[in-house]
Amino acid sequence: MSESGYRIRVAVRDDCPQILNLVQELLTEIKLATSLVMTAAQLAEDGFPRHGPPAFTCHVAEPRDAPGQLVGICLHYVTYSAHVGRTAYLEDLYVVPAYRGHRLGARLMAALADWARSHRCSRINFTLPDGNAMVRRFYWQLGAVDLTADGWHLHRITGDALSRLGDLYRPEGDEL
Amino acid sequence: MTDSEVIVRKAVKEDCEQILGLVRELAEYEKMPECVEMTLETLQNDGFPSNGRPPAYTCHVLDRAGTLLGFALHFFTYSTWQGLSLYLEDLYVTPGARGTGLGRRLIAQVAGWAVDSGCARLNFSVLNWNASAKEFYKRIGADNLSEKEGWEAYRVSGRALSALADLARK
Repeated sequence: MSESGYRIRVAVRDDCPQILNLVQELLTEIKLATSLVMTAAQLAEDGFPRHGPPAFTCHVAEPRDAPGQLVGICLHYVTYSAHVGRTAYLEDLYVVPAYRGHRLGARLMAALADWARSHRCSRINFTLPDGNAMVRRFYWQLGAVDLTADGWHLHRITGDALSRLGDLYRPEGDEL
Repeated sequence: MTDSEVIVRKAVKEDCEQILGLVRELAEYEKMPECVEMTLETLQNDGFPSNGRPPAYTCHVLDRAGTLLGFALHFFTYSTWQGLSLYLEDLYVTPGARGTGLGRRLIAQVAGWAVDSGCARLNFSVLNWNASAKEFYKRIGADNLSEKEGWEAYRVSGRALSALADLARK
C-alpha cells in the first residue's frame, strides 16, 4: 500500500488497548529490561480523563481501508523550559515493522511538529536508547540534534531512593 | 544566616520576577545566557493561568524573608510503562546561599511532591561537566541513565521544527 493509503489522526479513548499493545512491542524491540506496569484502563483514564487535563496526546497511523487497526503511534505531552516556555516531549514513536517503508514515522513526527506549533511549543525533545544507528539517522534527517553530545546526561531518582528523599521534606524528617 | 530562617514553599505569581532573575543566573552558570528568551509575562501566564487552563509548570522556592535564594521548576510527564512521572527542569541555589543544605531541602520538597502526586519517577538532566552537581545527585540516590543505560537526549527546534510541521500540511 502506498503512503496515501494511510491516515494520521489523533487517538480517541477506544484506541488505548491497541496503543498499549504497540508500546509493549516497542519495549520488546528496544530490548529494555523494564517492567510495563501500565494497563489499558489506566492509559485511558490518564489520556482521556473525565476531569482535568490529559496526561498525554497520541497521534496514530491507520490504513484508510481498515480504520481503527493502528499501525503506528506517536505519544507526546507538553513540557516547559524556563528559557523558551512551552515545549513538546515525544515519549513514544513506533511503527509496526510490517508497515515500515511508507514514511509513516516521518508523517507521525510531522503531525507532532504541526501540533506543537499550534500549541505554542517551540521544541520537540526526546531521548533515544543507545546504539541504534538507523534510528538515529531517521531523527537526524528530520533535523534533530543530539544534546547528550553537548554534555546533557539524563538522570533519574526512583523507587526507594525517591521515597527516602521525599521523606526528608516531611516536617518530622526536616533535620538534614 | 542560618538554615532555619529559610522556608521552602510553593511559588506564587508574585515570585515570578525573582524566579526569572534566578533563571538567568542559572543560565549564566550553565554557560548559555543567550538562551533565555523567557519574559516575565510569559512565565506568569504559563505558571498561573487565569483562564482555567492548567499551569504549564510548578515551582518551589527557598524564601528568606521575601528574598528568593533558589528555585526548583518542574512538571508532570508520562511514561507509558510506569505512568505519571515528574521532570525537574531547573534546580538552583544562588551561590551565596550554598553550603547549608538548602539544595537538598529543595529537592526533597520536589521529591515529596512527586511521591504525593503518585509519580513513580523523578527525572532530570545534568550537564556532564558539572562535577559538583553530579556528585550532589549521586548522593541523594540518582542514577545517571545516559551513562548507565546509554540514553541520549535529542531535540528538534527552530527551522527544522517548522520544516517538519510543514510536512504535515502537504
